[in-house]
Amino acid sequence: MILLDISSKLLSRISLFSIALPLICSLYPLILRRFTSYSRPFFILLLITFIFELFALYLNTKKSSNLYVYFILTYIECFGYSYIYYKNITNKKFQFLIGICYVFFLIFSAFYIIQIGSFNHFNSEMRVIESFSLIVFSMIYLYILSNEISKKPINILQTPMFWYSIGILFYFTANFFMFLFYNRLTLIIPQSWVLHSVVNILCNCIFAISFLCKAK
Amino acid sequence: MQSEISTLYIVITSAFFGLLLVIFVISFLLITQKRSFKYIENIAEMKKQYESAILKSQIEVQAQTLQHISEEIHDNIGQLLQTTRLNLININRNLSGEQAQMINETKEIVVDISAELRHLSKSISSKRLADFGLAEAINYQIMRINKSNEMSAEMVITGENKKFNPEIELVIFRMVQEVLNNAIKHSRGSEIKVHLTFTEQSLSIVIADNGTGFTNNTSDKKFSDGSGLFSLKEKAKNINCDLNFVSNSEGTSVTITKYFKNETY
Repeated sequence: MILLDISSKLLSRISLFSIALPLICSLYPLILRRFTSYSRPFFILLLITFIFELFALYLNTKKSSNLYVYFILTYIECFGYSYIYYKNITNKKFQFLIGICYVFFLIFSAFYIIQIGSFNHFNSEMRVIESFSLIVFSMIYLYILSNEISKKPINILQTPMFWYSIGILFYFTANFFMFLFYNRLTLIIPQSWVLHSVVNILCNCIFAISFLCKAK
Repeated sequence: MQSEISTLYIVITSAFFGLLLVIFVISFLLITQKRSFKYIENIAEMKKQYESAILKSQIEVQAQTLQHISEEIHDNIGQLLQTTRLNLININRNLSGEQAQMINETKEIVVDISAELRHLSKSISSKRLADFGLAEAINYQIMRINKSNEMSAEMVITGENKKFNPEIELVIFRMVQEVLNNAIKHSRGSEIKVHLTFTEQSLSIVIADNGTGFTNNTSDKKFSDGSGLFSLKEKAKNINCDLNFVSNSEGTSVTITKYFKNETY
């Protein structure tokens, strides 16, 4: 049990700093001056996420509550991930859907915060709504991509948005039930968060690949 | 506690499901991509075959037409000119002085016309190519250029002279004719050098002039004039050979290279 506790904490730390991997890889398009509508906003989003995560860690070490940091970060992340889809899809219907979903997310989270009245527990429901929206976006994007590759030759392995969508799909599908049951689960089995850490590390590796693709 | 363990199982299963979903999506897209590439490749191959068939029929029609014109020049016009020459000789027997001189000059002109038409007949016919091969057919073109005094031309052959696929041979011959005509018409030079290199795997023909060269610009008359270069490129593409142009102020060099890796010589 102690070993599990130690490995859980270790993986949690690795997970936190694993975001540095896509950030380092994002320097590749920066050096080549090949920033696109994908790499620029994603780089900014990763940087903000990293700063927030570090701040949350700092609060944690000071034994202060850092849950409000994650509330704010959820807003930023949901906006950022949706915005990247919005900017990289030319399909007007899909863009409209993204807008509607984000507005719905904002309204829901406003009611949610009013209802709970404090930031002293994990924003499970907000993360579930965010996960659901982003799973739908990634599936739609991959569907559009599959239609495109049947019409013209596209090397999907060299398409940054492909890896981005795979990362999003993997992270939010794998963590969907974790977010849903977080408050209930971590009270009894706190080490269960290790699953999120593993998924997050893998997801960051996938995001790193997206920066190394030859963006067109 | 039991319910939390069940929940944990659900969470672990969902994570596993997420991983499976991603593997499935990647596999599906890669298979679709592979199919798409194959389909596009097939379309390109079909297009190439179609263009090749069109070119083949064009060449056949052109060869037949030129052969017909060549035979007409040789058999009909040639004979008429011969009759005209004999008539002039007969008329000249009864004439003297200035009139006889004029008839003599006219006879000489008829002889020249006859010789020119004979050369033209041989030049446009692909019979020489079929009988003696590419090197001899090109050599005949060189001789004609030298005879015309428009430019001086020479040909060098390296390697063993070979005959190969008649269709490809004819296309290459027409390409060489086109390049030589372009050099005479546009190069403003005085010399043309043709270098044929035969190897086991390839045939390379370098045609170089010492003219003023041309720029790779559509405003350049030599480029925009007619469909000469376009037609050359199309022919090269259809018989799957390399075509390279090097042009500067010291002249133009055109290299035609045909590799015979998987084709019959």
